[in-house]
Amino acid sequence: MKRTGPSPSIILRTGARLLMAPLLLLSLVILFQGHNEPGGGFVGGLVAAAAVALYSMAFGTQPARKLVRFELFHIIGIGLLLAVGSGVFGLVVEGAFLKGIWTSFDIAGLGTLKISNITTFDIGVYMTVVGVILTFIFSLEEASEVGVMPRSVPNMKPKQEGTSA
Amino acid sequence: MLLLLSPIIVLAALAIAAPFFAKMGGRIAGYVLAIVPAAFFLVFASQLGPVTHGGAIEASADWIPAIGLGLDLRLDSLSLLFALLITGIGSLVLLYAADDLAEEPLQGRFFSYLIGFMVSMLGLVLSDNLLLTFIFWELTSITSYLLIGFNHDKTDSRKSALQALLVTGIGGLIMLAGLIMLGEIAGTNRISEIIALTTSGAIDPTTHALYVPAVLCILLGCFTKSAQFPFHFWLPNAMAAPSPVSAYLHSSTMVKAGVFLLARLNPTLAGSDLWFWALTGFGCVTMLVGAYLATRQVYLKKLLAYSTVSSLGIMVMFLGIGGDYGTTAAVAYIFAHALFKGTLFLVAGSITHMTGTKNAEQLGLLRTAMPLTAIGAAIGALSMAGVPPFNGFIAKELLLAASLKTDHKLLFTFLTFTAAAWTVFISFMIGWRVFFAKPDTDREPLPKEPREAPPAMWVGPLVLSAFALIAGVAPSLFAEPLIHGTIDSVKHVDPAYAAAHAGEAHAHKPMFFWYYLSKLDSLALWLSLAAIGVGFAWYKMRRDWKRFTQPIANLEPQLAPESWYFRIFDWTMDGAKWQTRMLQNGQLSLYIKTIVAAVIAVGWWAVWRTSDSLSHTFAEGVFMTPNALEVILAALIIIPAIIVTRLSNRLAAIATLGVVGYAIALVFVMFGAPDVAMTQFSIETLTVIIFVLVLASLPRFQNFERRPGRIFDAAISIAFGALMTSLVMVSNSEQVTSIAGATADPISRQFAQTAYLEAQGKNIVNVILVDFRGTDTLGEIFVLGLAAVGVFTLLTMRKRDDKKPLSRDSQTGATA
Repeated sequence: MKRTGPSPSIILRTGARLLMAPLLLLSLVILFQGHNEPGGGFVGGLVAAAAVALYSMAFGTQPARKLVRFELFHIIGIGLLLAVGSGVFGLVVEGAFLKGIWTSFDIAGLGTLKISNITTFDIGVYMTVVGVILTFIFSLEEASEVGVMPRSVPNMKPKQEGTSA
Repeated sequence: MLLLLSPIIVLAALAIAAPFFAKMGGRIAGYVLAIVPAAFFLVFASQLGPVTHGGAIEASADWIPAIGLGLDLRLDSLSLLFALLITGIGSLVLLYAADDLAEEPLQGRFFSYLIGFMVSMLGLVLSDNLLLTFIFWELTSITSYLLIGFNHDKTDSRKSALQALLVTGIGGLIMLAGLIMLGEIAGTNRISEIIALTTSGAIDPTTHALYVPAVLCILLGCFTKSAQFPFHFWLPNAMAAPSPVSAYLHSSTMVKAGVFLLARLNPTLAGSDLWFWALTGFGCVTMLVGAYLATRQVYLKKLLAYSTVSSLGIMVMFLGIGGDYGTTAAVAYIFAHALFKGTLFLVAGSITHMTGTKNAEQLGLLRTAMPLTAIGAAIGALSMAGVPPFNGFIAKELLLAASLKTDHKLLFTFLTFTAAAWTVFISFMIGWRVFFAKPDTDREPLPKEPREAPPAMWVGPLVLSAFALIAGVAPSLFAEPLIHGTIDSVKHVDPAYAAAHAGEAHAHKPMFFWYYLSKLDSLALWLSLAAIGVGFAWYKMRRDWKRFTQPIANLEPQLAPESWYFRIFDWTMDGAKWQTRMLQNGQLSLYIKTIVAAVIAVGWWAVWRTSDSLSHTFAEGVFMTPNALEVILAALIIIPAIIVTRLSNRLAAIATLGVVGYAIALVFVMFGAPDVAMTQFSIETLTVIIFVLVLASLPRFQNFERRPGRIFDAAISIAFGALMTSLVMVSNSEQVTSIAGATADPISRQFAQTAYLEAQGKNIVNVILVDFRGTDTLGEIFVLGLAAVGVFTLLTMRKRDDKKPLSRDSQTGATA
């Protein structure tokens, strides 16, 4: 039978809780170092999505959704808007869609921070990927929790919650 | 700049805002909306003097310079003539529609479409760029589709709308090819530049190798749009649209787009036998077929529609005849036709609106009930019949005179005369039969007691017919400069001739009716008067004529070109069904096979074309003896890949495939692509998670494939693997041969060199993703977003609709 709610495994639950913060931090590092070191918005997004997926396997989708706080489709939408907006910014300022425009700030003691509309574009990619992957995973998990998905075990009536056939 | 751009921008904004206005003000909104195009009409009219004296106004801005597409706008006399018709008639039609469609709940949407069409048409006539012309051209097709299908609850409307869209849309696409070829011939997409190059003799398109295909493609586009035989059938069917649409799109503006483009390109493309015979031939047949079919109609709008087909044929034919006479006749007729046909369509709409019937034979003596509409109808009909002093008379004179000047004068004059006589017949049907003749005694009672139409509905016909009168009696006010200027922009002049006669003042024919009426020694005048007499006689004998032509009409269902439209339509549908059955039979493995096989076909073609680079790779000796680690990795990839084909347990299969995936990721690590490796690892992990979620719900794994099928699958797999290997080797080559045969440095080198300099990034992979190929990435994340919407909808919609399992079949399959 498919479980609903938290996983019975204490190892999984503790591990997921412990790994959550480092994984998310790592995903941000991957996102931002991407321009010069291995990484980027796409991989970063995958790592973040994997972290949340792990959490949802340990505690169920509802707590995981609560953890994300925002509607997944809002995240996807804002990500896409950010990506398109970065492109339009290049179009308006430099006359070419997605043309990179860089500025740099000197931060005392830390070095130089270079930032551009390409950075925001990558953030848009990151958000979209997180939203999309989590939509896949949450939808599938919830579908099997509610009993929409058929069971592989034959001769067993699917559990129907709330309705009678 | 502002002069040309502002009408387009303002009207486009108005098209978007129209529904809100209509919600607020209803009928009043229509009156107010009509003011805007009227204002632009005045703006354009104020340019009459300078523009018609050769002072074209230009404006241009870059859009996509890489393909030669710019926002190039130009207002010369030809554009001005059409711009005035579009804004002027457009304004009257909006006014008319405010009352005609007052009961229509979706009136706002109607205004929106109509103004949207106005913008497209205006853009089309102002465009000075071949590609921009195409864009607006297709926009007129689309807005016309929306307008014809406006009564979308009627099957006929929808079918006619689709037919018009398919016929004009396909023509338009073919025309695009022709326009591109023309751009290649001339080396520029600016129409004014192309014309300047031709008239100065710098280029001679008629001798270019691409001339014939370019002309054929362009003609096909123009002929479908302007309803030339054998593509004429969509126009009468388009009468399913509300009357204002018929008056506006299908008489005075859109159907003339083809004629307009022919006129626009005439200075460049004319001068060959092909151009002459294609235009005169198709024009002439269309003129006769249209007029003949019109004589058999009794429904007002159909009558006018077929007569419009005939008129469009006349325009095309005389553009083809060309020269001083032909061009003058064509332009004068375009102008006259817009005024009288616009009038008559609005009148026809009013009649149907006020009496409830479309059948001319059921009507009669409407002049007492609808006196103002009757005046408009009478003037429109007289102008169409070619009775002085209206400008239709002048146009008909010029047509007959031009056909008398051709090399084949007997033939052309006879045919033009016949069409003219039939046109007179049509004029009597709408102008006389409906308003002045006594109704038949045995007619059915009218559905509605006729009353005069509301003011907004008779203003249009009266204003247009007043213009037809003024144009004939006081041509110097606007008609003469406009027509003369347009002739200058349309006429094809041989460069050698132009050089020999440079500096000579060119005399245009006057546009005053008396000038033609007083030439008693002119054969054209007598022919013109005779046509009126013959037409009247024909009208009187129309019942016998119908009986006489009935046998031909009986053959129409098999003979008519429209039957071919339906045949091709059905074949296409059958073809679509067949390919769906073949390729999309619901078995997922077949889908994958199809996709992979297609990739193999295209991919191997590319590899074969670039086999130079492949041999280069071999020659460079890039193959090194593998070390132990590499051998282990290769084994880790190949062995599980073979095992997975023998497994019949899904979980095991996924785990085994996971091994392949991770091993490939290790390859990336070893060869310095940590980015790709990282992505591969994450994807593998998430894939396994998603698979596990789905896995529980899938039926037991079964293989339906027999042995030959499995061998075929193996062949596809091996071919695909070999393809990917070859592609990798090709792209690793020091010298890449393109499919076109040119050799170049591999693009990776250029990326490596410019990544930091131009895009300020040291990670080339990421720079490619977010900068060099950023637009690709943008497209990809949009696809991802859509996939999420798809997955979400599929899973949650089921949740809401019924809580049954996804598929009963999968369960029974599992138990069996």
